Amino acid sequence: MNAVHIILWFILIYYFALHGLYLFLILLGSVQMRRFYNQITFAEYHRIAHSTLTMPISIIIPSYNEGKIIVETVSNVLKLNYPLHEVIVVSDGSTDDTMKVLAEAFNLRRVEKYGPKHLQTNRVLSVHESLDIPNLVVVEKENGRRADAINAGVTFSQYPLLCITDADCYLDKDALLHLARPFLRDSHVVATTGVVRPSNGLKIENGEIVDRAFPKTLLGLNQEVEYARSFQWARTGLSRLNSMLCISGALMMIKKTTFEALGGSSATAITDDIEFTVRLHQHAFDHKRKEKEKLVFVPDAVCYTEVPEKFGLYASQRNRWQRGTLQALFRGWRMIFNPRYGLTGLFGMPFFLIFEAFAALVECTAWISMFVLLFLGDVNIWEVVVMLYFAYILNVFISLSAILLSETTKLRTGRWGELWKELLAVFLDNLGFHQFHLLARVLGTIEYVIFRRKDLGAHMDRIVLS
Amino acid sequence: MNVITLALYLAALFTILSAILVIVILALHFIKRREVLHREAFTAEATPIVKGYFAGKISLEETVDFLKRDPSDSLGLLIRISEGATPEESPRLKALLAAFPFQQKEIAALKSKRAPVRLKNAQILGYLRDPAAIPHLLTALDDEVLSVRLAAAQSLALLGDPDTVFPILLALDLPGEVPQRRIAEALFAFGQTAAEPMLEVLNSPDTPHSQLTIAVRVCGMLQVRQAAPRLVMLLQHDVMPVRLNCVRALSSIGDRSTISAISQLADDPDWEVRNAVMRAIGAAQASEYSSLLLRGLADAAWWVRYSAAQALYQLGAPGIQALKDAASNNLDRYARDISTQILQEHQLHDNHSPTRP
Repeated sequence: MNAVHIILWFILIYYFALHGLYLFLILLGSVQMRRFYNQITFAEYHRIAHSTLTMPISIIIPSYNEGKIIVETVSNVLKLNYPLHEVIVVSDGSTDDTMKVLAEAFNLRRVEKYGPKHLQTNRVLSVHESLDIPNLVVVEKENGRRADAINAGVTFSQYPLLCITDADCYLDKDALLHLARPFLRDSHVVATTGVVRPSNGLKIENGEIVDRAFPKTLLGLNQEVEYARSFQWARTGLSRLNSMLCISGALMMIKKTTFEALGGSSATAITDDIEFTVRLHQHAFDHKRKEKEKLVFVPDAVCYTEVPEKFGLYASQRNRWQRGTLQALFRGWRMIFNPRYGLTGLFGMPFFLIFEAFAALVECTAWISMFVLLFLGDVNIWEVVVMLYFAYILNVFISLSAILLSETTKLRTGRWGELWKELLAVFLDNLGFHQFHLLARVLGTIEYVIFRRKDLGAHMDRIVLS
Repeated sequence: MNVITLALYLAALFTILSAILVIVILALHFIKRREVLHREAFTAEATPIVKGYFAGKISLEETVDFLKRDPSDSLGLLIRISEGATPEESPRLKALLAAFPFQQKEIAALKSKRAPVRLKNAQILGYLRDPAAIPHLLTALDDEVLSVRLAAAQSLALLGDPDTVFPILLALDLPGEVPQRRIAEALFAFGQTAAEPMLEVLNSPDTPHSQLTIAVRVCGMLQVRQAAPRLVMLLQHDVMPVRLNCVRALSSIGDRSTISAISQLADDPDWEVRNAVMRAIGAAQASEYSSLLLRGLADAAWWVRYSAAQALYQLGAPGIQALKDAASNNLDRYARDISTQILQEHQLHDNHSPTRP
């Protein structure tokens, strides 16, 4: 066997292992989903919504220059179906009209307010409460990144459960009920998360989701399929293996005591959600603590977040995610292959390292190798086409499996037109979009490893959905 | 085998599988969409008929005839209606449910080997409101799966037979805050029917503390006044959750004569108990304990300070004046901070007054 064969075998095995594992996770996710729905009874959410013993929730919304959309976001969370919840919006040194639009929309007045200071944050400039809505608090503080804003919000929170979301997110009407349910059933549950889907295409009226369609651009559609594949199904499977190492910042519910015990979010993290999730796993699954804590993925709690539909912003976002993933892995390197953390150490962290953090680098190297070998005449064009098609069809198969499973849930595509669009996105994904994504991630890897880049990249232009 | 040949075979295999998946997705989409459209159409048609039956405009026979066109969707619809049924509608609803052969099917399903089936049917039996299901639900209280036991308890609560309160308490006597909360919810659903059995549990000297905590909680939720003397005695219990729930229950019952006993826990080693004491004093507007509240403003725990300040506000003019004094003159910085905050919250703070040097 010569070097060419070794490279080709490596490419084949890596692709097969990557997609095989994804297929395994998707199937495991479907088993989990089935088990989950079997345990739910029709009256349970009704009971949670009406019980006086349901744990109240503080919703924290960090916001930076989100004046265009913040009123709709706050209206959305204020109208969620839950017996008792408060909303804390933290304007993290916004330089736009965020505070002004909030003050006008919700009739805010400035108050002196202090909370228990368990977490250090940048200076809080002012605190405002609404004269009309008693469960709304708006905090204005010096800029200190999303994590610092979350920590400041937690300082002002009253309730034992925290729901952390983003200013560009819209939650399903019953999302809080669904996220809180595991806490009410099992005292070992310390955090829950749910499904995140693109909000581009949602129709919002007075903060309520009235219709859902898919994004209009191909890039947006491509992310719709990607979110269904990785955020919905693969994460359900990873959660079963205690390896859901990226709880999206768009939707997380956590016990306040656990959040504080971990020292809150890290303001120095590039992606504070990934970094926090790794630390949370380190805390929850450390066998030496003997606490048997649980992190639960709730497949029927849905949050919609805006995805970039411009290539520049998309590249910037994925570049940041890649750098954040690497930073979180390097910070939590002690967990990798460490039996002290059970499945998280033995499966989750290695999987995250090999098939998430380094996947882009390996795939890119494989592509480049193929073309170098073609240029050197070691392989012919037919062999390159076969290998490229193999990579393409595996990707299509995995995405189709995810769509098939989604069709069995309430997140299924509603209209025929939407389904056709989704299928089109599956077949187009690997014809340029995936490669562009890889490139952004490889650049992210280089910028983090060589240039130590740690900034947050470009801020997204928001789409007004109402 | 050559690597390219293997890749080619695998690619061909996955192409065929992908084509099959596309066909299955389209077929599934077609079937699911048809089901949803049918259910929506049926519900839209059936809802006014059922409402007409409740209003006495449509006969039972006509309603049943219509609903029998789709028994499965009808059951879902009737359960949803049952959740929001008024007491006046209950007899008509009962008659409607009795006309369906649901009950026997659901009872048989309680013996299914599959826990999800048992769970679903234990819940449905409560909504069907037929007392004949009680013995079967009592048996389900011994189910090996906690969710099934809880569902059976909740259904028994919907049926409201007082004789089932004790078996529920015994079957679901589990340690831990979360299960206890759920049992309390189930027992609370009985309403005043549960009061007598709960008093018996409180008065029994051998009651385990987990059951005692639940009984205390339920007495508080139901505001059982007769429980107050025993709850006062239990304030001295060794176990913290019992003490905490006693304070909360007494506060909820609202008997002012118990405030003196409650106030003795103002120095409890557990901050949650101290916090509950502050709240109880505030809720009772017991101004004679304002000195205790002023002391609470400087407590080590933020929540106790917060509740003490809120309680002072609840006392009215003298409490507000005490808060204003504390905001500017209290020697403790934390007491000044929390007093200012509460005054601000209630729009009573004078911004020109000197605070926080």
